[in-house]
Amino acid sequence: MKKANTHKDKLSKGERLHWKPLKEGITIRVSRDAVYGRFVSEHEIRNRQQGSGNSNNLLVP
Amino acid sequence: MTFDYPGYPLKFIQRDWCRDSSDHISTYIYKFYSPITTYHYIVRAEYHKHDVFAIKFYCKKDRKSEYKYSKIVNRGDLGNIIMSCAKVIPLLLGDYPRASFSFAASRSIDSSNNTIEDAPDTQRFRMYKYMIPIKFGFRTFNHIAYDIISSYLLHNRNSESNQSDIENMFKNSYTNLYSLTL
Repeated sequence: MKKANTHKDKLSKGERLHWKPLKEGITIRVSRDAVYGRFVSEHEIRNRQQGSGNSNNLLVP
Repeated sequence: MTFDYPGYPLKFIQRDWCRDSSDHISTYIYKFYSPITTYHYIVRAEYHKHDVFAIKFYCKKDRKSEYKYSKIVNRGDLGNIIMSCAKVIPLLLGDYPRASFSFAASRSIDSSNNTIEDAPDTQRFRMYKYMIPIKFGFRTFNHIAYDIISSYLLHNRNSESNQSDIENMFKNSYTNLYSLTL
């Protein structure tokens, strides 16, 4: 008989996704030049709103 | 997929003034309660030079943890919690109509095995990238996503500061955004 998939058997999220140990992964250096923004276009925003049926229910227009 | 959660009412707690010489001027603090998770949450809107707010939130039960912004509560109700935090923006725009807003999505920590999520494109950031364009339009803000540091900027079109002024202010104020320490 197949063993039940109990909560105990399930790997934790960090294990499943291969996250780094807290002590090693806490600092990651990123050059200031590597940080650049991606402009989200009006077209993309409009599409997202229409896709969610939410274009008339904005918090801020 | 829709994102149609009403969120919960925000209660204003206080405004804390920042007395150091940094570009951080003051912090507006709000709280709300989720009857689903049965926890209170704290929302901090940190007001900076260049008329820009950094929005942060955490579960009140984690307030004494140095990782309070990274902890996973794991009791659901995410849509309403995120919407409750987002409601602070129209409130603040009433007093600061030219303000811009930024969000740095924390890296999650799995406390069961002491591991931490990678810094670029965190799961919280993917949620923000999905939700923000649905609830905030392009007439008031330009939307800018910074995948490598999991951050998002709503740059007010009427702001007197340009995008690079705000980016440089954050780069100089929060060096840990770039070394990505928590």
